Amino acid sequence: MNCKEAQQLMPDLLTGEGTLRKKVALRLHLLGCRSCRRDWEELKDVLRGLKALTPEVEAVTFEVRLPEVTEGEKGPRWGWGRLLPAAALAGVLLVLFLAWPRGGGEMEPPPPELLTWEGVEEVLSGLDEGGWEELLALYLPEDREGLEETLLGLLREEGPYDLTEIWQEIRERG
Amino acid sequence: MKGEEFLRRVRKCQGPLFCFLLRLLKDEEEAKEIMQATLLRAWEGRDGFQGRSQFKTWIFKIALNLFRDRLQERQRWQGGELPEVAAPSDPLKEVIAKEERQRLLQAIEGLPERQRTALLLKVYGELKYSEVAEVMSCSTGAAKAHFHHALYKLKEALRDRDEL
Repeated sequence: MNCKEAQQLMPDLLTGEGTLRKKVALRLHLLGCRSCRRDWEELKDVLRGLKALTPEVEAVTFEVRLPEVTEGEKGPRWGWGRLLPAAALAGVLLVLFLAWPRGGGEMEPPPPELLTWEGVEEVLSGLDEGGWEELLALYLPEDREGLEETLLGLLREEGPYDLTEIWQEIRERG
Repeated sequence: MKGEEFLRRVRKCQGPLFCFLLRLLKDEEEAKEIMQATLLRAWEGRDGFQGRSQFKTWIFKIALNLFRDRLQERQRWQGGELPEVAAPSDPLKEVIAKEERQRLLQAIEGLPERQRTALLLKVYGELKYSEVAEVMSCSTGAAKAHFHHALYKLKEALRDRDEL
């Protein structure tokens, strides 16, 4: 990724757009490019400033006034529409009750967490600034290529993924 | 759409919508007025909402149309002062100096209308590019370009001032 590509990506990734692959690639670029890191920080400052321009909505007295919103729309108190969710909940509780181990025995440990591509993407996308710093700190700056190879290699593979193994591999390579 | 469902959906997006209108109109009372008009129009037209687009996008589009109607009536973007938004009580927000706020507001004012609209929809409305495009009746690529240009212009404006 070059600087021009990085700058095109920054507004997207700062506002929740873009794929994880792009996010990883940008983070890797930022590690080694002081100029883009400055741009990144300045864009974050602009967005922070914009958000701070507007007071919290809760602090503004605002009342939704709509005419006759619920009038004449209340259905029968105990129709099937109301009973079905309750019946479903009761069913789930019954299954849990029947499946729950008895006699003080230990519950079986859960199976290894196998995640789909979307699952891994969700976990990595959910990393906050600190999480990314922690992940990137596992690698010395001179091993950026190793990190890139690891992460992008992992992301190229087909799922499902064992997240524990992924993290283990990342740590070992670090 | 039933009333309860309508209200539930409105509650989910009324915060971003109000923030968007507030920054667009720069006047709290007027923002409330347009907000109320938006909700009323949405309520009256709720049967016309087919679910082809998201409720949030649909209601933002109504708000933007009402804003444009108001704009045509008053032409308020032609000059005028920058009214203060109600002062935040959050100490964190008070850290943001008045001067910096003013600089940012002026930089927003200096943006072309479509860039400003895309910026406000993205930042305050928290819409995706595809949703911004739908509200603004343009392509996703155009919405993205408007937002990018706006954000970089603000960044440059703030950097230029810092370097003076």
